[in-house]
Amino acid sequence: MPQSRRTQEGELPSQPPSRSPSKASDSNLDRAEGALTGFPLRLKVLKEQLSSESHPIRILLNEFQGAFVYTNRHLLYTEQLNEVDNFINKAEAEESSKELRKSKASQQRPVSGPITESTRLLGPNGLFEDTKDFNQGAMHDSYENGRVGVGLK
Amino acid sequence: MLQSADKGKAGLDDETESLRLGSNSNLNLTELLKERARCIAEVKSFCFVIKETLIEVYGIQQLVRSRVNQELLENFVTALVLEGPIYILLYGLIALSEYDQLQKLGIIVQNAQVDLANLQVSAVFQMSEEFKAAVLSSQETDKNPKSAAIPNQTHASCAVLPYHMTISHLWMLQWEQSPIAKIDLVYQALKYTLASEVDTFWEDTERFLSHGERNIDIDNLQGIAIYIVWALKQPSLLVDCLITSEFLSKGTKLSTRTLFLNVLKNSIEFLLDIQVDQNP
Repeated sequence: MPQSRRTQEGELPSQPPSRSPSKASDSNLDRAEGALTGFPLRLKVLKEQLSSESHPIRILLNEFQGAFVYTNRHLLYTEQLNEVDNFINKAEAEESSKELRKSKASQQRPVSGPITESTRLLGPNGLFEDTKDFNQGAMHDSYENGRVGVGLK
Repeated sequence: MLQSADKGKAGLDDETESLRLGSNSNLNLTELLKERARCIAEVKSFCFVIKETLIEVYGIQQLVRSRVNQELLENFVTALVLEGPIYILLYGLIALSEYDQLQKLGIIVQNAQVDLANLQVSAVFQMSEEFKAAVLSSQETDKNPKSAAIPNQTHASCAVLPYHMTISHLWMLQWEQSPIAKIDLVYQALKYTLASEVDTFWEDTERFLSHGERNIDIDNLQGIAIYIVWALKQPSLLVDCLITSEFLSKGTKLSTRTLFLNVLKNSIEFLLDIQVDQNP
């Protein structure tokens, strides 16, 4: 039974508990950091290696986390689900934005250039009333935000 | 999280009543419990896969033959996997499937009055200034504090909440995600912080109250833990205990730390048995 002033056999020495929530994690390893040898030391090194986002096992972990949450998204609260959706949409938008910027840089295409026949097709189909809207709205939107075809009207 | 649970569900009085989870969800409690078990099993399987991968990739087969190293690696991998979105999902799932208990516990901690004296906690551990004064006044004539008169409502006169440091320490449990970190925090709080609070309280009476008398036995610890859980006023402690129990390794389950976790769980169960008027 716990004797308040005695340290149990095989337990950690009586150090004051960590007051910082962030620092208290993995306390088994962290607390004995100074005296780490053998396998605990190896785990400590491993932990540092796995903190790198490019580590293959870290990539595996991240992929699993993403896949697990995605496949079990029906178990999330509605609010959490919305947050996940927003997060996914934001990530996708950022990714497409990056791709667009890359293609823009490679093609050296002018932002306010002449409207070609193919781009004009987007205009009369309901997205934009006229080429002026298209020119000022869609072109700006597609280049700046990476969302081609989304009306800004 | 509990607030999210409040918003995220319509009520579980009727078992067939569906929960407002995702837009496509229409789960009742039974299905929810099945999903919870499935998710936990999947995460455990993945932990096993990662553990085996680490062993193979780093060639540590010899090292993990030791049971202690196996335990260390297992806890290490669990802490790696059970974080971020997975932790949040599982936490929410357990909170939803235990919604009845959480709601009941919330009502109890808000409405019930729990007193250390009523919990049969020894007067030494009630943090009563009156009792302390009685001990000090009887120092010349009687050095046995147990013979001192124990006033009624012993800790009512305390300026601060008894065991406020332990309560603050346990409050941080919600910020821990790793099961081993959670159980360690419970251990630290109920073993060291609690003891240091008792020691600090009786510091100036050391001559008259021996260390042996200040040692907290299991009966007193259970009573104090019930009081602490009540004073913490945080029903999500139940979810923390459950998620920790689910992911503990075999070795950790047999350790002293689990005893403290069980003390905490028993305290919650004790409180859940209290009948209180919902609308006092």
